[in-house]
Amino acid sequence: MKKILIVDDDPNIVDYLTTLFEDNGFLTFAARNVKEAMELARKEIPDLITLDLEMPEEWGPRFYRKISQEKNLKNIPIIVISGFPGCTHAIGKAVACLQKPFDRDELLKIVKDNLK
Amino acid sequence: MPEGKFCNKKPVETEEDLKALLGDTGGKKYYEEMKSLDVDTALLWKTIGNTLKSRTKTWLEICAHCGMCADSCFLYLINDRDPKQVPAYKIQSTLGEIVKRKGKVDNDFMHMVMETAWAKCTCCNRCGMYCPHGIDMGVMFGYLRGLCYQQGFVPWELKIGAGMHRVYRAQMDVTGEEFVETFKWMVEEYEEDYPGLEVSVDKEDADILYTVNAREVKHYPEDLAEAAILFHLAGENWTVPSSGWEQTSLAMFAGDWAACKMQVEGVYSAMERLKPKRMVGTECGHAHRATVIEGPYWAGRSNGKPPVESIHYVEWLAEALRKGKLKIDPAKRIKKKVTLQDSCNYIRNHGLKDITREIISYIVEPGYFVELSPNREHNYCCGGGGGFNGIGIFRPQRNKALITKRDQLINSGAELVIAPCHNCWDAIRDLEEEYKIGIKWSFLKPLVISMVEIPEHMKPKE
Amino acid sequence: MFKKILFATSTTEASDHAARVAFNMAQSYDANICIFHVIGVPTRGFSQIVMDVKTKEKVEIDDEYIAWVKEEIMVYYSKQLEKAKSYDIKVAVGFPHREILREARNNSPDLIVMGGSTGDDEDSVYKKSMVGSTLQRVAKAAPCPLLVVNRPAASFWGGISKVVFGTDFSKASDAAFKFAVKLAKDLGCELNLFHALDISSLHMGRLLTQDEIESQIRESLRCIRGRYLDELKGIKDYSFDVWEGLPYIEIVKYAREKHADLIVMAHHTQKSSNEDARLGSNIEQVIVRAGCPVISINK
Repeated sequence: MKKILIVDDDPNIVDYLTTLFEDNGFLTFAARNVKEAMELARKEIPDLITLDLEMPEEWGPRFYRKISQEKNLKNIPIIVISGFPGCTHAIGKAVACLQKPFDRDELLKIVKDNLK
Repeated sequence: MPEGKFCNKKPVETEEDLKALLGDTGGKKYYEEMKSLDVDTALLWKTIGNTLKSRTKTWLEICAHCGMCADSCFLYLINDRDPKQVPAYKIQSTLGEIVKRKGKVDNDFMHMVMETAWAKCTCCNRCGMYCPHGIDMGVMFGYLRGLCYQQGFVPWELKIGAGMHRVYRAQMDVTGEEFVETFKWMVEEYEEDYPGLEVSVDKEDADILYTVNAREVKHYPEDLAEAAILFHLAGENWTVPSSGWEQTSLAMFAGDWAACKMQVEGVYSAMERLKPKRMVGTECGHAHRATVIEGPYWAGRSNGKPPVESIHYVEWLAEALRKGKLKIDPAKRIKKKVTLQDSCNYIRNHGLKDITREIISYIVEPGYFVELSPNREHNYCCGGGGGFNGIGIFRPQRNKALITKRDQLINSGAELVIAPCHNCWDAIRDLEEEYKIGIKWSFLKPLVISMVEIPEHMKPKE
Repeated sequence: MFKKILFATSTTEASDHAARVAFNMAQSYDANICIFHVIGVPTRGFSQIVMDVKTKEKVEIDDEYIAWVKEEIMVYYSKQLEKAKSYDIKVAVGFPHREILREARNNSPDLIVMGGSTGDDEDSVYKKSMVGSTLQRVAKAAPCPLLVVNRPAASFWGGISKVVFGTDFSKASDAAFKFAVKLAKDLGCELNLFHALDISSLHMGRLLTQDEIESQIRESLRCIRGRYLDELKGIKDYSFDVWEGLPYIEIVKYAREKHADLIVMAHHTQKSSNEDARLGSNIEQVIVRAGCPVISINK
């Protein structure tokens, strides 16, 4: 089973995405901040990561910067899911950027496309 | 009726009153109170007795009602040749009528006079050139404004403007300190590009004493920098006065003669204090008219001249170019169709038409200059002269008046118009905003700076 | 380092990304933030009518109107202001660049934060009568460093820890270097020095061979060492590199590779007085394209 790491400080989003992904046959882990996210990523080595941008302590792009330095993690596809308009290119190498509220089918398609 | 709180016969003389009047947004209460303002007919007639002398009397009497002034007046032409816009009619129905009635006129009448004096005449003096008798209705309207002002029937913005000159000796609330500070700031900002750029304040016996328009200090300080840069590049020994630095006079537009006198006396006292060889003013038409042409008479100077030889900016600029103090890089001359706005106050009224054209010959590539039609002393007012640009209640009339200039510009085919006058510059900007004809406009200073050769020793070192 | 921030805003969506950075910095560095909004440009000669740049309406400026505008600003930024410890809201009338510079001169902020072009109407009459954009004019004359966040994408780093300093070995770059070093030391950042070798044939006159390019790269690296390395003692982490290409593109790419959250560069005192003043110089292109904020130093 493919693993997805969800990084978002909003528990509602985390619940929603967890349900969505698990219903579609994925294993999920959730992190509320960059520190947790790094720990989980190193431990579980997910196949895909969804990343929020503005979180209480460190912001999303810093997580991206950190995992880019790690051999095992640097190639994991990242989908940015954020509430901000204009966030499209905030993370250059993200495979996609979705603005909340996002279309679940669109998200699922992107996930499936990137996990072939 | 007792005089209003805002609208009355008293001039605005204190900062407090000025702020209060400004606070009456758009002059709403002011104009409301004006509806019940009494006319002091005794004062009006007495003043006329003291001030309306033989020239004006003769003019009012010998008008032959021939109508030759009609076609000379751009407001007559633009308002579909309305007979009531014929200059002779305009002045006869106001000043002429007041004299006939020996001052016994009422509030309604004075409202009509106010509108005529400020919305139907910009004091451009064009009619005076076409009248067979040389009757100058613009001059008479100037006089009439004084009578209106004395009675309190003056547009809100101009009551404020006259008040500004009384309180600040400037058309805006800009103090001498702010003027000096802003000038110094501008010099600092441009120092790196022009090493050695400086402004000296209150230097005695300089060659040039430079005076400005308060708007430059407040909103367009780049103009101050440009003036400094050009004086610097021309190697002039110049200075600015810490008081008496304002050349303009909204008081003149308002008809507040006492304030006019106070205003120019401030500038003359700076001249007397600092004894420059000459005074050079900024690119402004009415400022030159007020301080150099009319001012000496307000100040009671019997020779009709300011204490020191005073010239308009274009005179200085032409001289600097002529003498080679400023050299133009021929490759950078203007190579697009450009025309020139002949400003009433120093072209028709002070004969500088050839001076401005001399400047054109240096800064425009031959073949690219096109004249407006008509031009020189026959040019029409920009549409905003005499305070027209700033009076809110007469905005629609002013916007209509801009059409004359608009059409002149379109017909000339020019892409750029040079307008060495703040009022003309504003009027053209407004006409572009209103009618979007795609014209560009500019003062002389930025144009000259873009093409002037910088002497080797003045270039920044890298 | 940044105790007083002057944030110049249009109070519209166009300034939101600059706002994000400005408020985040104020919070991170415990700074006072002054939200500065220029209402409009004076029109109608000497009258009190101003064209409100936001609503595009002509309004009469009086105390009431100013109070209303300040209220609007407070509401617009209410979320951010909740977390802001020390702030002022100021409103001015006039040409934006001039009023921003005036405010900076009078109150000496440590940093001015601005967004890029607000994308105002191309045929705004006020644009026509001035040469150069607000940004260009402020960058040229600002008395303190100017931080520009031009694209929304550049506003999401949430802090400064990896700085790229772009140099062309000029005196102006030396001044920018001094600032970059101070910043890196004060905030404990990693500093990455970068020089772009301009190989466009316009610049070089012809296409260089690869060996020639790499020789020049080696020479430039030597230049960096000679000019800057001494000052880098005390900085926890630094690197330097030289890439060949079109300078502004290379800097943007380098910063992207390094995951930089700030670029520091010198503003060159080029007169912005030609008629078609568009964003032409390198720093202006970097500002427009960078994926992080850019600080421009002009003295």
